[in-house]
Amino acid sequence: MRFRPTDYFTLFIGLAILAAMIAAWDWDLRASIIILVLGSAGLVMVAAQLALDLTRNRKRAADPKLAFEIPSFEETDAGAFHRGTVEIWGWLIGLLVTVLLIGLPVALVLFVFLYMRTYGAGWFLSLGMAAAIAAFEYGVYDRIMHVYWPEALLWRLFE
Amino acid sequence: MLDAAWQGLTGILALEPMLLLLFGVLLGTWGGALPGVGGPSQLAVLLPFAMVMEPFNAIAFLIGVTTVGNTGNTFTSVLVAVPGGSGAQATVLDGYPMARNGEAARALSAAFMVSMLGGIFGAFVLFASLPVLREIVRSFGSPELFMFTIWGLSMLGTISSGAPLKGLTAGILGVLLSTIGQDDKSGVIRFDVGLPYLWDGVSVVLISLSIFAIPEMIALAGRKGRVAEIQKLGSGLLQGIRDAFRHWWLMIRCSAIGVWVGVLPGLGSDVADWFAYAHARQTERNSESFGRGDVRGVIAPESSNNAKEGGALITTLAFGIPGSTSMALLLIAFVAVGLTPGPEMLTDQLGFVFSIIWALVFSQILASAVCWILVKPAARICFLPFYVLVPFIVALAFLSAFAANFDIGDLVALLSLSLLGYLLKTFGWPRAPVVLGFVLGRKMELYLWLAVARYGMEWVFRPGVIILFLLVLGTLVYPVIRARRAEAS
Repeated sequence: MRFRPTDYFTLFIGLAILAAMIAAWDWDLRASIIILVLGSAGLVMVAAQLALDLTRNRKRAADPKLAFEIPSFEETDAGAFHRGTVEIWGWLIGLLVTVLLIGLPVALVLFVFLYMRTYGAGWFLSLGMAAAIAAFEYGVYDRIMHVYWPEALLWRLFE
Repeated sequence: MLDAAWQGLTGILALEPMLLLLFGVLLGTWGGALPGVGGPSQLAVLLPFAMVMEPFNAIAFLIGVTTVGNTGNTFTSVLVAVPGGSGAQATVLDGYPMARNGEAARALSAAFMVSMLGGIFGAFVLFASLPVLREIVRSFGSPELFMFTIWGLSMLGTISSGAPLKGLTAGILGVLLSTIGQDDKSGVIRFDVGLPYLWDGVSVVLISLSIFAIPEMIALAGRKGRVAEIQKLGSGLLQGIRDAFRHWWLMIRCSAIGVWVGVLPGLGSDVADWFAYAHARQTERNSESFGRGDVRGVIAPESSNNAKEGGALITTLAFGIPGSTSMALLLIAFVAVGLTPGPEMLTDQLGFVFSIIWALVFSQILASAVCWILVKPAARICFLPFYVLVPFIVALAFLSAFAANFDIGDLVALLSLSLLGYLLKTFGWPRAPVVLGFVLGRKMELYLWLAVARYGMEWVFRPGVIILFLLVLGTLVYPVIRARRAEAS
C-alpha cells in the first residue's frame, strides 16, 4: 500500500476539514453547527475515499467518470506541459507582485504586452491588446464605475 | 384581465419604450458577457437614469437590462470556461468541452434558443400564476427553503458519478469556504486568519473565477495550444436550434425548475442552473456523456437561468419581496416611477404588470437575436492561440476579482483559491461541487437558523419539509436503484 500524490491531496483535504472543525469547536453553536456537522460527514467521506483508493485496483481507480468536471486534454508531452504550468504560475505570481508595486491598471497592461511578446505575438497585436485592456480599465472601471485604485507601493516612495 | 393585457402591450409597443428596451437589452447582454461587470453593479449605475423616466419607459429599459444577463453570459462560459455570471456556472461543464470539440457555435446557438424559450416560459408562468400567486408563495417558509438547500447538496454525490465521495466532499469544502467571515447571527468572525479582508467573506465571483477560469487558463498556457483542438465551427447555428427542439421536454422541465427556484426568495439564478443541470444529469438517458460536451448539459442550465427571471418577478411584484440584489434594485426603481409592488399591483396596476410580462417576452427575443448575430465571430475566440487568450482572460479575471470588494486582497484571494482549483483539477476532483456548495452554504445556514428561531424544532414536521425530505431521499436512492436495474439488464 503506497501513497500516491493524489492520496496526499485527499489527505490534505481531510486535514483542512479537521482544522476547520477544531477552529470552530469553541465558537457559539450558531456559528459552528454547520461546520461541525458537515465537517464530520466530510471527514468520514475523506477516510472512505482514502480507504477505497488505497485498497482497490489502481488501474480501475485511474479511470474516473466525472460528470461534474471538465475533462482534461491528453498531454502528449508531459515534460513540456509541466514546464509550461510552472511558467504560467511564475507569470501569475509576478503579476501579483507587480500589481502591489506599480498598481493594478498599469501592471495588467504591462502583463498583457509582455506575455504576448514573450510567446511570439507581433508588436502590433501585443500593443493593440494592451491598449484594449487600458481602454477597458479607463472606460468601464474609471469613467463608469468610478473605481478607486489602491495606491501602489512604488508610487508611495516617490511622494 | 384582457383589457389590462392589451393596455400593457400597447404601452410597451410604442416607439420610445421599444427603443429603450433594445438599448437595455444591448447593455444587459454586454454586461452579462463580462464577468463582474453585469448584474447588480451595472443596474446600480443605470438606476438613476431609469428613475426619472415615464413608467412604461422605465419598465422597458429596466426589464431589458435586468433579464437578459443570463443570455449574454453564456459566451464566456462556453468559449473560455469563465462564467460570465453566477447563472452560467453550470453551462461551463458541457459548453466548454463542446467548444474544445469544435462545437462552440452549436453550443451557443442551442443555449440562445433555449434561453429565449425558457425566458418566454417564465413570462408565461408569471402570467398564468397571477390568480393563485399569493397562496403558492405563502406556503414556502424558511424550513422549506432550508430543505431545498439540503436537496441541492444531496444531488452532488449522485451527480458526480464515478466519484460520489469526492463530489460530496468537494461540496462540503464549498460550504466550509462559504462560512469564512463574520457570522451575522452570533458575531463570531470565522477563519479570518488575522486578515480583516476576510471579515466580509469571499465573493462568489472570486470562487467561480478561481475554481474554473484561472485553472483552465493555466492548463491552456501549460499546453501552449488553443481552446479548440479542432479548427472548425461545425454545423453550428442550425444544429444548435435543432438540438433545442429535439430536447424540448428537457427544456420545459428545466424551465419549470428555473421558474420555481426564481419564485423562492433568496435562492436565485446562481442555484437555478445547478438544479437544472443536476436534474438533467439524473433523469436523461445515456447520461455518461455529460461533462464531455453533451448539448443537453448546455440546454438544461440555460433554459432554467432565464426562466427564473419570470419566477423572480412573481415575488417582487406580488409581495414586494425581492429575491435577489437585482430584483431589490428593480423594486427601488419601480417605486420611484410610481409603481407600488405588492397586492395593489395585482389589482389597481395590472396594466403595468402585463407591460412587465410583455417586456420580458420581447427582451428575451431581442437578446437571443443579438447573441445569434454574434455567435460565429465570438466562436472564433476558441481558435486564438494561447498567447492571445491567456493574458486577456487573466487580465479580465483580475479586474473582475478586484470588482468584488475593490481591494488588493481580492487578487491575493483569487490566486490562493486558484491554487486550490488547480490542485482539484490536477488530482481529478470535481470542481463544480465546490462552487455549488459555496452558493448553497450561506443560504443553508441562514434558513436553518431562521427556521429554528421562528418554529423551534417543530419545523421538521411541516408538510413541505417532509415532502422535500422524501425528495432528498429519492435523490440519494434513485441512482442506486437505476444502477442496479442497469446491472440486472
